[in-house]
Amino acid sequence: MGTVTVTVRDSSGAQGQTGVSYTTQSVGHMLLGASATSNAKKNTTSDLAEYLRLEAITGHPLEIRRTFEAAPTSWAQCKASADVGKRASFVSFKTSPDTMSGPGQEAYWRTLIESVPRGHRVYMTWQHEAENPSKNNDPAKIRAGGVKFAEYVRKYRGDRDISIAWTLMGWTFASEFSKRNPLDWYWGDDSVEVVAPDPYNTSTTKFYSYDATMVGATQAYQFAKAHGKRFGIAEMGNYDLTATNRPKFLTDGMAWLRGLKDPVCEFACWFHSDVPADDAGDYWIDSSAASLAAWVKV
Amino acid sequence: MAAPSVSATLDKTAYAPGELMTLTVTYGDPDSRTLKLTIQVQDTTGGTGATVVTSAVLDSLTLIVTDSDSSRTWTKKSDTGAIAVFTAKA
Repeated sequence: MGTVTVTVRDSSGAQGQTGVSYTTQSVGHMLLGASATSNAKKNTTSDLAEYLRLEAITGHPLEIRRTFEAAPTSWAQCKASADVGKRASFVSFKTSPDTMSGPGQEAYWRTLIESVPRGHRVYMTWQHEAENPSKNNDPAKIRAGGVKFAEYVRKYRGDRDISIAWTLMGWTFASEFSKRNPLDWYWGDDSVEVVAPDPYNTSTTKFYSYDATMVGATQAYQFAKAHGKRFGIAEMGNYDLTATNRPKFLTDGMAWLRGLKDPVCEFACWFHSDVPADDAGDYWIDSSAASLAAWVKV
Repeated sequence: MAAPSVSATLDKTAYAPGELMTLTVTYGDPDSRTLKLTIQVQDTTGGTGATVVTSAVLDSLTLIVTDSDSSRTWTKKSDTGAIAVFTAKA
């Protein structure tokens, strides 16, 4: 807790004074949490019961929950409404890029944003991983839509603790391999507040550490730093190819993230799931005793 | 002499490390007055120079911002004489 004191003094020495308090997350403390899926191979995320089970086996409360919300009309309709008073929220919205500037959009977003409870920390993004080729998005529409989204959030959040996050696949930041340019999908410095990528090790044949250039987390962090943005991990995961890969990925990855300074890594969410639903493995944090033990320690 | 008045608000109540903090200060003093001075110079032959208009504030106000965290520096971004905006890094 800190306090800013403002004093105004006139030429005779008469003065008025006021104070305003604030809290800051301590440097070095990273919110640790997850996105939880319960039904394997069904690509259903944001499962609260599975999140709570994960929390229970972790042995202590998790601090942030990643949810996917489509287009709710109020905070009460969001899955993340269950997080209030318990943990921070990282929320993805997915309204159509074609309609962000259309009639009724500002009123829609105003209602949604103004319904977020004051004092609840929310990282909010729109059209996460928009560059995924399977989504067939038009970069220009995503950029324009992101600018509108940020405009609405800034205009209506008031003193609510809402940060505007921008999420691409970690692989996209690994430009030397992906041949993609993150700037093609960037909403711009005036719109984005937090660079929050989804870096995974999705190789089905080889282990890469979290800071390996193949994963893209390092390049995403460098992007955030270069653009003067805050940083966090919206999703992360890896296949546990040899039952030792995930413990190492987790332990080394979290240590790397916690060691970042200026900007710090504000949060990291493990993607506890079987997504993508292929036969290469899964991202279940408790798929092995070693994986769970590593998770509990981080 | 009346005491100056001041109120202040932060844009948020909680900040992440490195986040921009914005402080808006509204202040005033009923005793403060702005005078408009009109000056014209005349020489001994009666010739006059161009008129100059300027202003001066009587009982001007000084704003001081301090933080309980002495490592935090607040920088003034704007000041209209009634509303001032300061920023700092959390």
